[in-house]
Amino acid sequence: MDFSTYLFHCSGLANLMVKSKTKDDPLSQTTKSYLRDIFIQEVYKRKKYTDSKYTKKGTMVEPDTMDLVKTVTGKTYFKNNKTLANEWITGTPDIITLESIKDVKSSWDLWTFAEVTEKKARDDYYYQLLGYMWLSGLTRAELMYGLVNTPEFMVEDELKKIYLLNRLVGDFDVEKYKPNYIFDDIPAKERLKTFILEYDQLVIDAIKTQIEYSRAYLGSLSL
Amino acid sequence: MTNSIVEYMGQEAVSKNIQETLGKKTPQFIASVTSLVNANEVLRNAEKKSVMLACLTAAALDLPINQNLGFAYIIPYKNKKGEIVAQFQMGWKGFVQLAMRSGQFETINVSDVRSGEIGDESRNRLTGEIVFTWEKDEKKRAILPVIGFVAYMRLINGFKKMLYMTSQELDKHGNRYSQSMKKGYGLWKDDFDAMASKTVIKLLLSKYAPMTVEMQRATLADQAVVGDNDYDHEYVDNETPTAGEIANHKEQKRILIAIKEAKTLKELEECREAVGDDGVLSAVFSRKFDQLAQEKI
Repeated sequence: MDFSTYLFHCSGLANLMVKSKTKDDPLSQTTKSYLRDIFIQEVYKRKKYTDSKYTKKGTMVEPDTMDLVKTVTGKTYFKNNKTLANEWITGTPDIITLESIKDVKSSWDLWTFAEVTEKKARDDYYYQLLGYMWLSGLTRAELMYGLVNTPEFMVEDELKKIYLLNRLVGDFDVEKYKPNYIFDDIPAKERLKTFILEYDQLVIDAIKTQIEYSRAYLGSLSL
Repeated sequence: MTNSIVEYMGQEAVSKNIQETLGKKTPQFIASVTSLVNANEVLRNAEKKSVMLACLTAAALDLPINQNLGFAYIIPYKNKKGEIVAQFQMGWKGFVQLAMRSGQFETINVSDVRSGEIGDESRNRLTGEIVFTWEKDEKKRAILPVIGFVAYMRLINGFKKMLYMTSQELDKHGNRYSQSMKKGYGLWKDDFDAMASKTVIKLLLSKYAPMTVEMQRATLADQAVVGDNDYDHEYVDNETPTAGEIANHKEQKRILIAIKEAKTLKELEECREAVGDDGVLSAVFSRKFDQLAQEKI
């Protein structure tokens, strides 16, 4: 398979940009492991199972988080379904407006939401959003973290799991954990964090270089 | 007959398990399992262990597995591997039985609701209670269309609660939780009334009733291929929509609301891209566009 024109997904760009610990090798072990997964997926059509309750909730409640954004900012945004691509990367930003790219993340609970700081947000999603800016030609991105209710059947599943574990220690009252998944009592304003990210051509150039190395590495792989 | 359910239950380890669970009731249990399996060819070909564990669950709850009685059902299903397995299903009478046995209920019942027996004005928004005007003439009532099902319970301590669901809501519920209903067969298709009755009573009990150990066990095992313990139950007929499907549905609803709430053509235009080529949304968008254009807003 020819990987010389392979388009990397924006969501995976951070994996390409992990610094290598070896001077002679531009690709880190993390990057190589990520590239091996792509190689197996593309050549042998096998995809690693990576689904989790966190990503499931994130996907399911994305529209609810957009409603939260509306409540707080007064602006209505709709989900973008158009996939953008150039000769290097591809991706589907959550929201594209005339001024900026917006990406919506939904936290699992109060604890994970409280952990979100500007540094963490940048560490986790800077390259992804930079990729979207590159694809759309926009120079500003907003990364929005929201905390919205967990879907009811997921709450039931969680409580069921807690029940099965807690009954071993004689604790049958799982209802007391229900508020951990419901956040209507917390003011909407407190449940939304927004971080602004800016376009940076120097970083884009660095991404291009890493993509060239990565494509070459993909072309050299075998089982 | 080789590999029969009788032979399976005769194996030392299996027989010991049954004896430990049922004690003196073992011979009666073996007789009813044998008669159940002999009467159902598909169940005869089902995996023996799943049949035995499903029946054992019913027996442990002290519910008869005679399908005609409606307390509990043992239903054959094809799992994802293509094997036929037996699934344990509670009937609505089974839930009522367990509730009454707890000694905490003064009354518990379920009924269908016919056209004309409920009106919007009879709902109490605060208590959630509905006043029904039951048709007294049974002959007249029998020909009225069923519009929903209601379950009601009153505890000895005075707590009372009802749960009403329309036939459409129940249909949606069945479609969401039963893979076989989506494909046009299974209990939801064959006996909608029984499944609807069970759904309202199960939801009422799981939300508001004191949960005895028996009730918890019944709720967990219901609609499952019973495993060796509560952790191992496998829900073969349940299929929730994917996370993506749920998100798409919610997003469509958001777009629909935004179209309906648009007060000017400019506001409406902001929804145009999101409408895309969705037929329903496009139609609603066009109607709203015409309406606002006529009002020249």
